[in-house]
Amino acid sequence: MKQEREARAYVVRFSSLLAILLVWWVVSLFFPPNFIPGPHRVLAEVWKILSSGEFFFHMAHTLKRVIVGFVWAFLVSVVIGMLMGVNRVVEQFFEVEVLVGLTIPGLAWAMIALMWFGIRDMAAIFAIFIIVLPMITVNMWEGTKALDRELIEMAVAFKASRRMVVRDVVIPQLVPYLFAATRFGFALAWKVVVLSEMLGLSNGIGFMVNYSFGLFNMDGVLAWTLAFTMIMIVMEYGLVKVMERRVTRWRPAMTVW
Amino acid sequence: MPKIQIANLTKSFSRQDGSTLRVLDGVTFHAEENEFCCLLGVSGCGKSTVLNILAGLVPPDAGEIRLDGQGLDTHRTRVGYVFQRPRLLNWRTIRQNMEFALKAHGVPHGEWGARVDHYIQLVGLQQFDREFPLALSGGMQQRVAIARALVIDPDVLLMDEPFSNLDELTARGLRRELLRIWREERKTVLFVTHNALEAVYLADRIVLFTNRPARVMRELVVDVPRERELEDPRLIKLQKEIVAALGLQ
Repeated sequence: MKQEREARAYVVRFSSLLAILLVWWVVSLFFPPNFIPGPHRVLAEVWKILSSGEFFFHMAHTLKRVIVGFVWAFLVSVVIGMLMGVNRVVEQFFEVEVLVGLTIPGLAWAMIALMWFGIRDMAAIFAIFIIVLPMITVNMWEGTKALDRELIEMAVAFKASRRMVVRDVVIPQLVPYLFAATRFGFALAWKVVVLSEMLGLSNGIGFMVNYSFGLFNMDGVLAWTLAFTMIMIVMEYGLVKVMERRVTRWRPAMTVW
Repeated sequence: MPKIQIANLTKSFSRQDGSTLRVLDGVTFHAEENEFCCLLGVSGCGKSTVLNILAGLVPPDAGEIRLDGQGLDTHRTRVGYVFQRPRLLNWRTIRQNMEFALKAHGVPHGEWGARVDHYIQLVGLQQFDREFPLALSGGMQQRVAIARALVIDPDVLLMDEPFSNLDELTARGLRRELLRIWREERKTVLFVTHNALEAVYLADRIVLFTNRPARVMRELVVDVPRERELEDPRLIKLQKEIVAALGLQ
């Protein structure tokens, strides 16, 4: 029963992808290939950049920037967010910064970072850090405020040590918020890193998209974007979702997504 | 010697606007060893605060609590607490929830298996021990909460309106079962409720609380042998007396 439902979900998802490819192909028939190339042309280009190793060289640079920037942002904002949830003064202190930070456009930060740090990895890393920071902070702030105080009270009534309260009662409640924060944070980080690379850096996915754009090479722009997106999807389904399902298996099975 | 003696317990809470709210105003009562004692009063009168003080969740302003004749050390006393909601760790199995209480109380690991088996059996959930709480109905979750409270072999079992969130039929079943468990395990029970009928059905003795700030209005002995019937005229009569004393109707 459950397997059947899961199998059907995969079929539906796969058909959705096929439908997009089909629509793309039909539309491309009505336009010149340097305006909207058909999927076969773009996929051929994807194969070219993958098999030549070019893609992996640039992806490695992009990935390094994202991971370093994201990890720093994650560490700092988890601490700030949790303190905001626990302490009213800390909450009041950071509230404005967080809300303002959420509204500053990523493009502005990417430019500012390049002007400050020059054409170096640090420019992209800083831009990612400063963009992702308020996003994760907000999630952890909410998660901490939503902690079930009655459950903590129960643990105290049963004489649980502080360590037990944190490990067995508090952290499991924060896990869903940590996952949401990771997902949104990564999505933002990818967007910002590509901007930084387009604007100033001399390698990375964003640089290559921009390079193809400079040659008015539509096949290249689409191929680099598509290959990059595919890697993202593999990471989301292969890593984040698998981990999430493992740690939240206590939830009653609802619809599979 | 009474199991628990509470004398002149006083507690005030400070409110947002700076004023203080007096919740307990010199509460005095006792419970005998293995006695089933109901604390009865209208909702919000402060009965639960008495339990929270006994569990060490809230410090009293003044007053004395003795357990077995000795001053109560809330850090050492083994208190089994059953709350209004089950308050289970939804990310742990039923067995792990009970082990949480054992671990918190420093019970040696070697005893866990036998103890959990015994109490899970006592509440009739032996085939569910590897399930997660959310797979169970509200009544079953509350049974787990009772088993968790008993598994630590508590000095006193505190129950704070444990059946008030359940539908009446489930609640009836669980009340009868609670009495059966209590006959087998023989614990001193302090059972908070605002339900007079529930109190006369369950209790050996009922301590009536005034409205806030709470004091003990009077005590009633329920001199009706068990098994009791909810429709027993003696219980109905006692219930009427209580309702009249609380100034309802």
